[in-house]
Amino acid sequence: MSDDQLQRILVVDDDPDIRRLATLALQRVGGFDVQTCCDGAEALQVAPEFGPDLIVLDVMMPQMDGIELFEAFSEHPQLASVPVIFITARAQKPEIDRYLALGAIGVIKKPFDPMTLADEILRIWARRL
Amino acid sequence: MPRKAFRADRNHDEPSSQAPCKGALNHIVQLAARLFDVPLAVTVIDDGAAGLDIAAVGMTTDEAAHLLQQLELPADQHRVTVADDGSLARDEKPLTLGDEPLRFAAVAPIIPGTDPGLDGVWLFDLQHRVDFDDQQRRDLQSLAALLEDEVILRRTNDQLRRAHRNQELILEVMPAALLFADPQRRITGANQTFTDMYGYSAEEVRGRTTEFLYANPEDFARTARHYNPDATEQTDPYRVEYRRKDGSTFLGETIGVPICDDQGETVGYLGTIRDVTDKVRVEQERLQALQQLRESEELLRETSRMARIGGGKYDLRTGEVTWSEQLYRLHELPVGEPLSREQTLEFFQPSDRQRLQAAIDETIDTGQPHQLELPMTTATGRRQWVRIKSSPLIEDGEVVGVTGYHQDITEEKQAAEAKREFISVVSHELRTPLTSIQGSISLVANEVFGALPEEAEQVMGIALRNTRRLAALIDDILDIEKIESGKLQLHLVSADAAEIVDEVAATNRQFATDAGVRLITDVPDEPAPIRVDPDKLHQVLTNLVSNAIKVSDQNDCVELVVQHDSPDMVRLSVRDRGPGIPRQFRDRLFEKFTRAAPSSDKPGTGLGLSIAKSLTEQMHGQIGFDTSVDEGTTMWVAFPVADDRSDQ
Repeated sequence: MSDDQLQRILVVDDDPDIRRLATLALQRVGGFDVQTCCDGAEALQVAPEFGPDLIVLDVMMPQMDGIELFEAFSEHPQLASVPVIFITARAQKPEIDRYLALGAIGVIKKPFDPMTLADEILRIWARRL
Repeated sequence: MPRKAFRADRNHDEPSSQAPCKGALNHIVQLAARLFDVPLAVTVIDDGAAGLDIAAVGMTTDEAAHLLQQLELPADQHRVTVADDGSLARDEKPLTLGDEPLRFAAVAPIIPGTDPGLDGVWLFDLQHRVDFDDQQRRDLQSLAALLEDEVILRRTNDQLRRAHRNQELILEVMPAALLFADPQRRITGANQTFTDMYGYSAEEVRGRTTEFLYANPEDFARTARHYNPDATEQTDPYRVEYRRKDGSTFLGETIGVPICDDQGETVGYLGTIRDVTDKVRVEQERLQALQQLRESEELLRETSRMARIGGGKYDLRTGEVTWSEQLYRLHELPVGEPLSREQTLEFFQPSDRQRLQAAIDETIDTGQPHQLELPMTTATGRRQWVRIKSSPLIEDGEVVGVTGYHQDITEEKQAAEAKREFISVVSHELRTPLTSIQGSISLVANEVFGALPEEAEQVMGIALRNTRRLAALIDDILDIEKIESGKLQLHLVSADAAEIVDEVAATNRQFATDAGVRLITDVPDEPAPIRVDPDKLHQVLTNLVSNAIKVSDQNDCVELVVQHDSPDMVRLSVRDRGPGIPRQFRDRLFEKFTRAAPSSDKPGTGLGLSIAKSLTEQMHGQIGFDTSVDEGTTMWVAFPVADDRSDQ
């Protein structure tokens, strides 16, 4: 699927260390174009301009949590169609089922391995249809 | 009818001094002989068991007896009969006394004579007596009346004697000691029980005042009021300590009764004494037991109040529901309010009512106890959690009802919930920093920022392995928390055991290959359907396989086998050729944090097998192992074969 090439990934996480690691994992190891945001407000501001192919979303964040942000994206004209992967420490089966039911294309469990994160995202990306 | 034997030992010719009544017969017969001027007279009465009593004039009693044998009372027994012929003789033979013929006979029978009897006053003569007139007849009748009085007197005396004997007998066999005393409390008599009780014979005590019988001599004076003719307490029982002849003492209960004469004067006392040592001991023990019962009831009430636990009973025979005080309090109902079985269920939500009813019904039907934890709403609308346990009430092997307890576990539930919440939050919160640590180490260890010196590479490897282990530990803790809180939801379906084993083998093949271990499967050709949650069984088998790989040497193989244990059970085994499980670990292999291998060697969390066991058992399966040192271990799980209808 050449027209479906994954290039630009937006990572939203309130933890600066995780943002830094995610950038290293996806940009340096995975070779993607990565942009990070620290909360929902910044994401809603940055995302339309950045135009991501995929949004990787932390669930537990202060103010607007990942679920609320996901719903905000769904209602955003430019972002509604952008696939979302949740990345979360709360990833037991009922929670995973809930995120998938919302419309996420996948769930990645923390702690993730930066060496394999890009591969894992690509796997989810590939089977999203 | 044979006649009564004549008593030969009595001799009325010599009146006896000791029995004046015997003289009466003599007096009458002599009076008769003189009054009627006859040479021969006989009085005879039937003296009951003693036989006939005879007195005679002009002959010996033997001769009189012989004469009487010839006689027969005339048909009219109530009249004086006079005969100048043999008409009073039996068979009308001539009457004789010795060789002498008797020419005259008269008799006045007595009314209470026996039938056929000869009782009465008899007159005889050797000559004819034509001058026996009416006055003489009346006189003879009067003599007979005297004889009658004698008979009545004797009978009365007999009755008196019998009554006295009976009385004596009763006194002897009475279980109470009896003591007769004069007004000065000097002993005049005692019964056998007294002798048995005190060890003194009646003779030994006769004439002594009762003082010596008291263990404490002052009691003699103290009890005097009971032996005062004017006292009102005379017949009140009192308890006092007595001393036996052998010196030992006992507690007696005594009632003194005054004995009065016809004028109502007290002529003595009758004391009855019962040994109440045992009775008092039993009374004390009963009181003590009662006291203990009260205390233990109080304790039970107090502890059940503290534990917020109440008890109840439902009697099938009467349909009656009985609740303890505390059970009413837990329901916030007035204590003692009558309740039907249906009303007791109304404190629960409809769906829980059915569960509770079903559990109680099963206890009634099968005798199986049941335990449930349910939310309920009290009479005042307060919500609480309760634990309810039902047990069968069994009488003579039959279930006749249900007993149970009901405990408010709201606080327990809240605490457990808080603990679970805490574990869950902590575990999740640990993951975020762990992500950063593990991620950083992974990047460095994988030389994303350039090659590492060999030693640095080694320590980064150590750091990486241990952060992974920490992550696994958090996962396991969350798993356990979920299983133990009962929040684990299983999706039991019919699945092919062989298929699941193949998937597990595929998932773990890379791990096996990395360890240099061959992973092989041995599954039957036909499907082996079992009723499980496939994801959970996958998790259980993965744990067993990864343990097997960890204990295997390079080039060893680990086998996954599916086989029918029996037509109803399928067994899934994981077999290794490792060192076997050391004996000391076998008993607690499935306990938390039990590790057979040194923790530094091939690390696990120590929770895997505990989780595997819980998951297996929640899927109604069994888990176990066979192991032999140096030959390896087979860990296995077994599940019932799924029947076709139970799919989904």
